[in-house]
Amino acid sequence: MSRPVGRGERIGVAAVLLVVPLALLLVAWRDQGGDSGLAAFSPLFFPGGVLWGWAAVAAMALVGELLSGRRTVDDAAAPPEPATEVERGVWWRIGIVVLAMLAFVFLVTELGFLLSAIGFTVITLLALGSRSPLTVIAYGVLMPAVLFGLFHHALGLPLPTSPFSYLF
Amino acid sequence: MLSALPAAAALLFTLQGIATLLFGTTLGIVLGALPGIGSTVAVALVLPFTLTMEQAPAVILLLAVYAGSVYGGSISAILINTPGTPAGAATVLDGTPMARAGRAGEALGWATLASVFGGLVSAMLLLLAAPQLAAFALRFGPIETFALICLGLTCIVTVSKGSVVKGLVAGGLGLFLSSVGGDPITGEVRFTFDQYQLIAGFNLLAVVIGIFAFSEILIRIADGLDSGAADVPFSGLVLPKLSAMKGRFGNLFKSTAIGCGVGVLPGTGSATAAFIAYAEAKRSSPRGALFGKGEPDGIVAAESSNNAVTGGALVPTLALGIPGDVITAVMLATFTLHGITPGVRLMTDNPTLIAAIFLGFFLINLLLLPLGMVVSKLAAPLLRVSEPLMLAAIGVLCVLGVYYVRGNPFDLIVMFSAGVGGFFLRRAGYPMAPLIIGMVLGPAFELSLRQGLIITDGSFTAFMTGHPIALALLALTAIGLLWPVVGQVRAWRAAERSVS
Repeated sequence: MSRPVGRGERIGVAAVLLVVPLALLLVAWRDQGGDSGLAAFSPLFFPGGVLWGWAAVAAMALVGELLSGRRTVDDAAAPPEPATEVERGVWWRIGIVVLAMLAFVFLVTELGFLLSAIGFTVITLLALGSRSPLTVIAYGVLMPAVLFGLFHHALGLPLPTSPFSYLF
Repeated sequence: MLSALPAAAALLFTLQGIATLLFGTTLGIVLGALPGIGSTVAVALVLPFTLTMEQAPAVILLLAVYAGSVYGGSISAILINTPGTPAGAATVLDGTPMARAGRAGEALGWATLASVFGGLVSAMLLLLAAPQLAAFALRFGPIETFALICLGLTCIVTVSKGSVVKGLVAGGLGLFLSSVGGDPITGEVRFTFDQYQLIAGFNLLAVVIGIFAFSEILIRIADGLDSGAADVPFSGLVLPKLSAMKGRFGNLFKSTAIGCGVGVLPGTGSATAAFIAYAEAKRSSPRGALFGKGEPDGIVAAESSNNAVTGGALVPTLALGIPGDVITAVMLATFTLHGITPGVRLMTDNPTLIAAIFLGFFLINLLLLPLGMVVSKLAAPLLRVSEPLMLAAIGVLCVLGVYYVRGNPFDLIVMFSAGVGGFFLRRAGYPMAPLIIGMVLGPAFELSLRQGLIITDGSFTAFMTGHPIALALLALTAIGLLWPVVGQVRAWRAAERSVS
């Protein structure tokens, strides 16, 4: 069941999508020494045109978000609804999984694939509500171990190993 | 094309070829059956593992996963009332009532037969139509190619369900990402911000896995994890008797034709075809009143049409390099990653590969029948796997898939960033298919445009004056862009009339 997305979040995303191409155009303009880069044979001709087009439609999207679902005067007087316990829990889960993935991405070359994958799996399972220690430990170790064994040892496709042993 | 068939058969009828067909189709059925994974995530997850393979087996494996996953979506649709793919959503309408009435095996039997028929007919369409279209497209120079890609980019409009403007924003983002790195004419680097890893541009595979697979994990958490589905008694697939098929062939042929037609149109997709065919079957069937209560005609319409889309969508993909839907956009990305340039010369330059694709696609659809019977029974217990276990496995596969292809940690950062960015974009209603379409078509779009401008000495008007094919294609592009606007205006007027 899909949860509705807040208007503030939609406006924020639309604003970022407008600011990014404008900032990139500014960078291109600065790098070209004030030349727009839109001359047909310039290397910036194509990306410059795309950025202008992107900025134009992003501006339309932002206006659309600002106009859609505007609160009435009565609504505006009322305080915004506080986030429910469930919504806060969902954002915590997302935050933990994102951080676990970030750690996985950076640690895979340091700790090796297997150890970092085990860490990611265990943290993700706990964050997503798996409460059986047996399931968390067994699946958290076995699933990455099977994948690592299959690719690194059976198929001979090298994955990063840990500083402790070349076997894992 | 027919002359290349013996060489293609020699490629396919080897131990590796047959194993690829069997493994890919089985894997596709299983992944398609798992609720929420869907064809796109399935193909995106398998894509990196094809990069160490030869071109033909790699493409065949992905085709097998694609066709298998579309069929596999019907298994969870029927058994647990949850379509594994959007294409299976129409199957739920009659599949679930049949399953709840204790006829799950029979419902799956109808779904299997209809899927195989739809897939085989669409394979024939692919074999007949794609070479003709490709032969015509051989007349294209850079200006015609530019106009053709303009037309291809209009499918951004059709895949942008909900908001065309947001689809165009995502398409613009994809086109920009494709232009990062070296200029195709001068080689000068652009927008790399002194990061040497970006000189060759963004890794398409990392972006695909990030926005389809990693962001899917976050979306599923945001939408609330499923608490599990009710069990339906299922002891295996039961094929319908010949007498039960009587009076249903018209529906089967019509629904397959709808699927093929919808598939050829860029950007429509199998879910659209399934619902159009379902609605038409309900309207025209003598058993229309029973639709929604467990009527096999409903399953036949939905499944034959959604599987017929697979071959139809491959026609513009293989003949012109224009994706028919989001999955064929990922397939085009596969060609690029394997060093094959998608576009009008694809069939001429790679006759054996294309013949192998045609033949392989036909065989995959034939294999759906025996494999469907075996795998559906084996896959049924997997439907009860809890969502956290599945999401954790997808996360590990994201890193494994992206890392092992090039061993480049920077690709992992691209995947992570694409996943987090894709999550917020998807939540805010930005479709992701246009982003991939922009990234895939972007390099050829820029190259043909720049070459065209060199030919015409920088004149855009010359693009239309001396090039009738380009003019016709640009006119079609304009129609493609204006059509949704006309539809919107009509809808507003109809709404105003109903209010007044």
